[in-house]
Amino acid sequence: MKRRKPISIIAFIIFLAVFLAGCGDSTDINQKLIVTTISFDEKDEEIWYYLEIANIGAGKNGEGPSEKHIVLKGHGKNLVEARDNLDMQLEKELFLSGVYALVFTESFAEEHLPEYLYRFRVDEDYRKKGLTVITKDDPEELYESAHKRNASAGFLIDGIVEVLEESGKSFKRTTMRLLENISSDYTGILVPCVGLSEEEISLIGYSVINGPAVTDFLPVEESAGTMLFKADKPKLHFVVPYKEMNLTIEVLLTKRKITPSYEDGKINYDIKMEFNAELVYGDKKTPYNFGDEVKEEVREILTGMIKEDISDAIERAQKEYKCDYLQFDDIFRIKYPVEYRDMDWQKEFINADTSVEVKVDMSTEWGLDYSVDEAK
Amino acid sequence: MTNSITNRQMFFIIFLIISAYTTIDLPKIMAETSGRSSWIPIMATALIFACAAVIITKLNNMYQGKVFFDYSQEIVGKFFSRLIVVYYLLAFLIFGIYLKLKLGGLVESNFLPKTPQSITLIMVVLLSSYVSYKGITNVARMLEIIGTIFLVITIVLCVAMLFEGMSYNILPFFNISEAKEYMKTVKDLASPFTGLGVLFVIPFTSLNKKAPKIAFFTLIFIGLFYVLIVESTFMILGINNTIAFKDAFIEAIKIVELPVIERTDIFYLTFGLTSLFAGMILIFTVIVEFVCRLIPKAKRHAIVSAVGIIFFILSFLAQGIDEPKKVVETFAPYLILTTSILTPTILFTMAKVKRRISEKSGEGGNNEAP
Repeated sequence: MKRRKPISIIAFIIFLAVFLAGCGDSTDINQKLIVTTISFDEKDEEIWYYLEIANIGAGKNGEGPSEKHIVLKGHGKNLVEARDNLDMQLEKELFLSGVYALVFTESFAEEHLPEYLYRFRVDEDYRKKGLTVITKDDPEELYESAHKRNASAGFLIDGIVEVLEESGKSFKRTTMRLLENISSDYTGILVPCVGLSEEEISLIGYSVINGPAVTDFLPVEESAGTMLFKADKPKLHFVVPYKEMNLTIEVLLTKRKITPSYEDGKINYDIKMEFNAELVYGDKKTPYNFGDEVKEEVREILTGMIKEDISDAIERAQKEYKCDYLQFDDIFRIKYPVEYRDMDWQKEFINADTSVEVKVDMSTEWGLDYSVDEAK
Repeated sequence: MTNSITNRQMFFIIFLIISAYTTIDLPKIMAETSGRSSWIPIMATALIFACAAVIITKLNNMYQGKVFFDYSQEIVGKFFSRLIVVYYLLAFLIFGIYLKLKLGGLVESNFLPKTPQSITLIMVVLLSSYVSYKGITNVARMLEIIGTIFLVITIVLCVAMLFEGMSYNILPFFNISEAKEYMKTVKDLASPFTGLGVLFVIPFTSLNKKAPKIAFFTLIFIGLFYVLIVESTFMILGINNTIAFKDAFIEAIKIVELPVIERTDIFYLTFGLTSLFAGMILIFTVIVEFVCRLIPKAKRHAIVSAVGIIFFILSFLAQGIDEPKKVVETFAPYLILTTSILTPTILFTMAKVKRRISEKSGEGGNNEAP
């Protein structure tokens, strides 16, 4: 049998020993405070920094607090002071890779949004897939509401926005995407705004970020038209008044095409949207006699309603909020990169013309058939 | 010990030694210099280096069974041949130290934050010395496995990024106002194409007749691979975020949602690091091969040990320099251009001329293997 040379054995042992260096760097997860939500508020000219920490040892051996989540808070004149104040209370290192949501109050976001987002970007430990939301409420109340349900506020908020996005009623954007928008030459964004509704955390609307600060609020009840631009696969319900009935119709966006043109210094957007729609139910007893003729009449009413919603959404962005959160800037930049470079988009956007074309197809039937007059 | 390799092994040797340098920070370099039109200078540079690869492989094929050190003596004489080899040796030593600094930084920031870089340096030197002692053929066999895994994992992640990212971040594909920056970018892109000179330590055989064609398409493939990395990073992060991050590709990977895997960055780095180690081992092997040719009487294990010690000392000293990467980056493009393009082209031209003259004069100095 071939004998191995001692030098090879020594080299092998030294080589293995080097891997032990990893043991020196390791930290038990129990020796860290797992942060699930971070919130900020500004009140009395001070920044308040809230950490929601998952209490992974809750209920074990009857030691420590029994709550599943603990909230720690610090405050100071600036972000550094607030964090330093918070650090004085930490008995273990923070683990930031479990942060699901960053929650900013409007008062904090008005002043410090870019500053904190840049702080977030520089810290390698942060979970970069996390979500950022704005709130009009006190973060402590949000935590209290979530903890009553034995849930983390961050998990709840992330879940609410995710479910709404999947059902086509809203949109979800990571904090990194928000950062990209904040860092661009022109910044116009919508950020989901959460609040307490009947003491429960829910999506109440969208905060308008124009430039570096929060400037306005779009209530969720008035956001249907805007969602046709923002959601990936919008699926909305319209209540269409027809004769004496109110028909609830499910509408699914199938095609969205926005084409910009630029002639004689004038920007125009040609917006074409196509939908599939189906009658879900009405508010009167059947039969509805929803035959081809009735369908066509309802289709025309529905088309008008959708068109109005789209036009309202554009007009609101242009005239009321004066902010291009519809991302018309990117659409224009892609087609006219040279012209865009020299433009002040804030001025250009509010003066842009739009023409809207809506096509609704009601021929498909996914669910119930309301065309039959009566049973024979 | 045979030193020949197959064409497939050559593909992975070129791929790993070249992609080891800047896969992670390439998106940042491109975002700063060419923006959304980055694919144009990347493919243009890939084409230039593809032509250089064809020249090197053709040169190797003209002198089958011999390596650069042997046949360069026939082309330019013994003195100049030694001079060129020493130049290559120094260049690869610098490339190696640069790569080591990068590797050390990556290991420290992502895996072992408390471990001193000198410890990882010892590990790299020990590992590289051990593998390079075995010779280029064994290294090539190892690279086939590492290269395949690295390639598949990176492409899968990039494709996931393309699906999850925003298309407007990479559009328009061509912007005339950025066109004047392209030529400047080609110089910056020299670093991502470092290491083509590795082909000079591999003796070609009759197995490598198609090597020029394969080398050409390998470089074009690397260009496309780079374009995929850059575009997918832009799509996920956006141009502004990409500029801000030094390790932009890793930051982009962190945001990718994959089923089961939560920490996609650690998943990638496990394999990405393997490719960096492979690149490091290759450079070390090249240095050892050059020294073996310069000092033919010395035993291989003595050379490996000496190179290991020198490499350790130089890398250790480089750690003490402020911004060593910047120091290297200022003159690296010139080193790369001379080692990968200029010298091979001059030697190839001289070899062709010499062969033509000898054929005409009927002296019959045929060096080509049967």
